[in-house]
Amino acid sequence: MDESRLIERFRSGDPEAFRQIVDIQYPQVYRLCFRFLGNREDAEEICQDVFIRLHRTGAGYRQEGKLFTFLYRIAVRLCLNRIRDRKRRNWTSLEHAAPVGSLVSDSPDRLLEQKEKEQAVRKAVDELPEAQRTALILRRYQELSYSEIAKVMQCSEASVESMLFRARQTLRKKLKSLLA
Amino acid sequence: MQMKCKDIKYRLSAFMDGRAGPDEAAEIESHLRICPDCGAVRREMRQVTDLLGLLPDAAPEPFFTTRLAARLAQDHAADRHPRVRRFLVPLYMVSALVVGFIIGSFSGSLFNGAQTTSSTEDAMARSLYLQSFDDFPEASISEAYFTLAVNLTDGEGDQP
Repeated sequence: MDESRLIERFRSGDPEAFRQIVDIQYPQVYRLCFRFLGNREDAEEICQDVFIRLHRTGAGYRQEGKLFTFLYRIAVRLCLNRIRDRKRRNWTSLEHAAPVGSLVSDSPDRLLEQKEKEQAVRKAVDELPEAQRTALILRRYQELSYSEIAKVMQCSEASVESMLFRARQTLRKKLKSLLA
Repeated sequence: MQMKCKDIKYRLSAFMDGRAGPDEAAEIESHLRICPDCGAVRREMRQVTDLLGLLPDAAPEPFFTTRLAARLAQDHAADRHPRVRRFLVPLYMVSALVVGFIIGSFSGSLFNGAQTTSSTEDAMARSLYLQSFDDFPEASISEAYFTLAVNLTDGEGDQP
C-alpha cells in the first residue's frame, strides 16, 4: 500500500494502519538500533520506544518526506542517549564477546583472530564522534543515500560528505595495523 | 585546473560512494592511475569498508508487534488518570507537612509551658551545683541570700 495513504489512516486513528507501519518499519529500525548499541535487549527496548513515540504523535504526525527518516531520527537520538548513559555508568556489553554464528566452524586460532579484529573495529567505530558515527552507520549498514542521511540528521548533504570523509580517515588511521 | 593529491584524498570518500560527477570522476580515476600515494589511500579505504563488514548484524526478533501492543497497553493503564495523580501527589505532600508542623508546634508549646514555672530557680541552683534550693538548710544565711537574689531577679524582670 502507498505509504502516504497508510499514514493518513494512522493519523485518523486506525490501529490496523499502525500495526502495518510497525510490521514494515520494525526490521530496519531494529537493525539500526543494534548497529549503534551492539546489544539485542537494548535494541528491542529502544525500538519499542521509537514506535511508542510514533503512536503518541498520532494525528499530530506531519509527513515531511519518508516515514523512515522520522523513525530513524528518533532511533538515532534515543540510541545516542543510551550510549551516553552507559558511558556514565561504565557499562560494557557482554554480547560483543559472544561467538559469531558463521565463525563457529572455524579453527580456534582463526576464530580468535577474527574476534580480535571485530573488537578493534567495534572500538574504532564506537570512538568516532557521534555525528560521524551516525553518518557512517546510516551509510555503510543502512545503505541510505547522502540526501536521506541529511534528512535523518537534519543537515546538508555537504555536511554528510564531510562527516563520512572524516569518519573514514579516522578509521583508516586507527585500523592501520589491520590493513594489508 | 588539475586536482592536487590533497583534494583527491578529500574527494575519495564521496567518489567511492558514486557521488562524483562524470568529469570529476574521470579526473580522479586518471590521477589514481599515476599517483601511488592516492592509490594506496583508496586501497586502504576499501579495506576499511570491508572491515566494517565484520561487525555482526542482528536479525529482528519475531512477535515484536505483540510485545509492543503489551507495552502500549501497560503505558495506557499507567497514564489513565494522569491529571488526578498529578494533583494528588503534591496534595499528599503538603498535607503531611502541615500536619507535621501542627503536631510539632503543639508538642513544643506543651514542653516549654512545663519548664517556665521554675526556670529562674532551676538556673540559679544549677549555677551553684545544687539539685534545688531545698538543699540549703532552713533559716540559714545562704537561704536568706538566695531568696533575696531570686526576688531581685524577678523584680528586674518586672521593670518596664
